[in-house]
Amino acid sequence: MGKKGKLVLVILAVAVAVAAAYLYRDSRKAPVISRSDGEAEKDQMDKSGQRPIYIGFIPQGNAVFMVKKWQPLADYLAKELDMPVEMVFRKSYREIITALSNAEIDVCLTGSFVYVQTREETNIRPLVRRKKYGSDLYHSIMVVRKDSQINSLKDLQGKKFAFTDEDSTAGYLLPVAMMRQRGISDPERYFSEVIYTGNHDSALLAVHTCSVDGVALSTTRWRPENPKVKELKIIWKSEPVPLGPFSVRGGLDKDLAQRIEEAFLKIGKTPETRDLSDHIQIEGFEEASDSDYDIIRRVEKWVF
Amino acid sequence: MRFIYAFIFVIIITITILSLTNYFRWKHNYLRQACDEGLILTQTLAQGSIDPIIRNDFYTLEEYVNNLIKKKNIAYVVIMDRHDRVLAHNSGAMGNIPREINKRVRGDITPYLVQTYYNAVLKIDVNDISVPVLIDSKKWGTVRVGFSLEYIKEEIAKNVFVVIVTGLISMLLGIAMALILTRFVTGPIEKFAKSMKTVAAGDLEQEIRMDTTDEFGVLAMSFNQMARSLRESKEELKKTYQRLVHKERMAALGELTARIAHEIKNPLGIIKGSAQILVEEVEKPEIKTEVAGYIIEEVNCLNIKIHDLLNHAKPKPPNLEEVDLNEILENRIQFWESQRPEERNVIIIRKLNREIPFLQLDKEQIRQLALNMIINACEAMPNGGELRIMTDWNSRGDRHDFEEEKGRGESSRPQNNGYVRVEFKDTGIGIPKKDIQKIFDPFFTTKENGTGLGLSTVYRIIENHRGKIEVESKEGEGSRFSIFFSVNGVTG
Repeated sequence: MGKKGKLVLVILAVAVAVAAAYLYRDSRKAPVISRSDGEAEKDQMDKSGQRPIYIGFIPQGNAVFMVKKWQPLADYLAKELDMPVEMVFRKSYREIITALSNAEIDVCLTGSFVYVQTREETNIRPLVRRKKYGSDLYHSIMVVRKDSQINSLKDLQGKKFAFTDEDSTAGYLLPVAMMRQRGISDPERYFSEVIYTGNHDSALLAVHTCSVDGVALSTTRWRPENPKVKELKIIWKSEPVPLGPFSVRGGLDKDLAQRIEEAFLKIGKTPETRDLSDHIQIEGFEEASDSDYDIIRRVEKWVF
Repeated sequence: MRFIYAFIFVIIITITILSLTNYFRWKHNYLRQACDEGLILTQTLAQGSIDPIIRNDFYTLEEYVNNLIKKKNIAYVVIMDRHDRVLAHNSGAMGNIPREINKRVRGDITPYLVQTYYNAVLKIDVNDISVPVLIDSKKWGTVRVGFSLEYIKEEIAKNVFVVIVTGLISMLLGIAMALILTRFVTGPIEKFAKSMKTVAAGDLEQEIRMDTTDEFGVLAMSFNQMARSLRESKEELKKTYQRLVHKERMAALGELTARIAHEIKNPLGIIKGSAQILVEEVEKPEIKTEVAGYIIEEVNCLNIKIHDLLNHAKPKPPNLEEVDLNEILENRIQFWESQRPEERNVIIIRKLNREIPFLQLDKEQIRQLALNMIINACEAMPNGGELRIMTDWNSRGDRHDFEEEKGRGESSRPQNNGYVRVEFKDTGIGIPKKDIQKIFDPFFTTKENGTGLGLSTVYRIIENHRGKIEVESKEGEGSRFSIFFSVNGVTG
C-alpha cells in the first residue's frame, strides 16, 4: 500500500483517537440537564417576623379535605387580626393536649366529647361554636340499609357494626351510652364484629356497601341529597347535643382571645363573609361556654 | 483506483460522523428522559406525602423515605414542612447536601427546581430535584430527592464504548476492503496494464495468465486472442511486404536488365556496324578512321556506364578521414568547368563558408557526390542557368535551425551537435511533384540517355556517411538540394 495509503491510515487513526478521547471526556463530565425551571430564593423567614397563631385540627380521613375546608377561615382570621395564622393537624386528642400544653397551638377545633376530655387535662376555654343552618345542635344516629330486615337495635344483635372513632361524640359516645342505658354492658360483644371506620364518610360507605350491617354516625354527615343516603334508613336517633367548639388555650393573651372571638362572630353576618360561611357550610358562629357541654359529661358517665 | 480508496475513506468518515451524531442525540434524549423520570418520581412522592405532612406523621414519611432510598440511583431523600424543618430524611442526607444548593423552591412561581451538581461528600454527580407540596397554591412542605447520575454516566460510557468500537470496526473493515480490492482488483488490472504496455511497444508475444473464470479471466482471454490476431496480422503483413519487395525488386531488376540491355544494345550496334564497315572494302580510308573512332567512343561510353553501374552495385564502406568539404567542392567545380568549356552555359556561383569545420568523410565518395550533383544540376538546365553551391555550418542542435538564403551558420566555437550544410540550388526545369519521391531511385531518369544512377549514387554516399538530403523543387523555377553532414558523425 503506497505512501499515500499509509498517510491516509495515519490520518484516520489520529482522527479516531481524537474522537475517542473527546467522547471519553464528554461521557465523564457531569451530564448537564438543563431543565432547572425552578426559581429559587435563599432561606427566608416569614416576612412579618411575628409568631403566628396556630389553629389545631384533628383530621379524620382526608387531611387535604380539611385543609381546603378551613384554609379560607385561616386566611380570614389572618386578615382580621393582621397576624399570620397557620393550621396545624394532629392525629389524636392526646397530641392536641400535648400541643396545647406546649403552646404549639393556640386555638383548636374539636368534637364535643374531645373538648370535654381535653378540658379535663388542660385549661382550654371554648370560644365559639358553629351554627349549622337553624341549629347548633346535632344528633347521633344508627343507620342501616333500607332493604335490610333491621328495624331496631335488637335486630342488630349478632350482626356486624361500625363505630367511627372512640373519641367521636356521635360516632361512639352517644350510641354506647344509649346501649349501656338499655342494659347492654359490653356493647362490643353485643355485635358479632365491631370495626372503627375512622370517620363518618367511611362509615356511610361501609353500611351502604354492606361491609357492615349497621353504623353509628353524626347527623352532620347525613345529607338527604346524597344518593347513598337514599338507600339507608335511621333506626335510632339520639338526643340533641351541641357541636364541638373552637377553643383557645388558657395561656393565650386575653385581648388576643377577645379579638379572635370577635372575628369568628362576624362570619356570616356581613356580606363580605357570606362566601366564607357558605364555604364552611354554616350560618355563622355563636358564643360557646363550658356549661354547654355538661350534657356530654352526663352521657360520659354512662360509658366510662 | 484512487477513486475507490477515496470512496472507502468517505464511507468510514460518514459512518464515524453518523455514530457521533447519533451518540450525542441519544445522550441528550437519555438525560432528558432521566430527568423527566426523576421529576415524575419526586412529584409522585410529593403528592403522596401531602397527608402525612399535614398531620406531621413522621412515621409514614420515614417509611416513604426508606422505601425510596432502596432504589439504586437515589442518593438522598428529604421531606420538609412549610418552614423547611426536616420531617423525614435518610440518614446522613442533611450532611451530604452542600449549602449552596439549599434553595427554596417557591411553589407560587415554579412547579419544581432542578439542580445538577457534583456532590463532593458522596463523590458523585447528583441531580437534585425539589418539588413543593401545595394545597390550593399554599405551600405545606417540600419534597426533595437527589438522584445519582452515576448510573446514567455508566450507560453513556457504555454507549461511548460502542461508538468507539463501531468506529474502529468500520476503519478496520475499510482497510480490509482496501486490501482485498488491491489483491483482487487493482493487482490484476495493473498486471494487465503492464502487459498492454509491452504489446503497445511492439512485443506481441505477451500472454496473460489468468486462472479465474470471472471478468478478469474473460478479459485475459480476449486480450490473448487480440494479441494472437495482431501477431498473425503482423506475420501476414511481413509476408505481404516481403512479397511486394521481392516483386519490386524483380521489377526493378527487370527494369535494370532492360535498361542495361538497352544501354548496351545501342553502343554494341554501333560497334558492330562500325566493325562491319571496317571489315568491308571501303572507298575512302578516312571513313575507316572515323568508324574506328566511333568504336572507341562507344567503348569509352560503355566503360563509363559500366563504371557507374559497378559503383552503384557495390558501394564501398567509407574510408573516413578529416576532409575539407570546401576544397573538394572547389576542386570538382573547377574540373567540371575545365571539361568542354565551350558547351558550358551554366554559371556556377560559390558561397562557401570558410569557417565550417573539417568533417570525417571518404574523399573519393564525396568527390563523386559533388560531381554527380553538379552534373545533375547542369542537366536540368539544358538552356543554361545558374547553379549556386553553398556551404555553411550550425553549431546548435537541429539541421532545421539553418536560416534561409542569407543563412550563415553562427560562427561560434564548434560544439558536438553541429551540422554542416551544403546546398545545390539551380534554376532549371524543376522536378514535377509526382516524381520527387522517385528521384533517388536507381535507374530513375527523365533524360533519354541517362543511367538514372546519378542521384541514386549520391543518396547511397550520403547514407554511408549517415547524412541527410532534402529536396525542394518548383517546376519551371528550379530545385534546391540540401545535404547535411553531422560534425560528430551522428545525424539527427
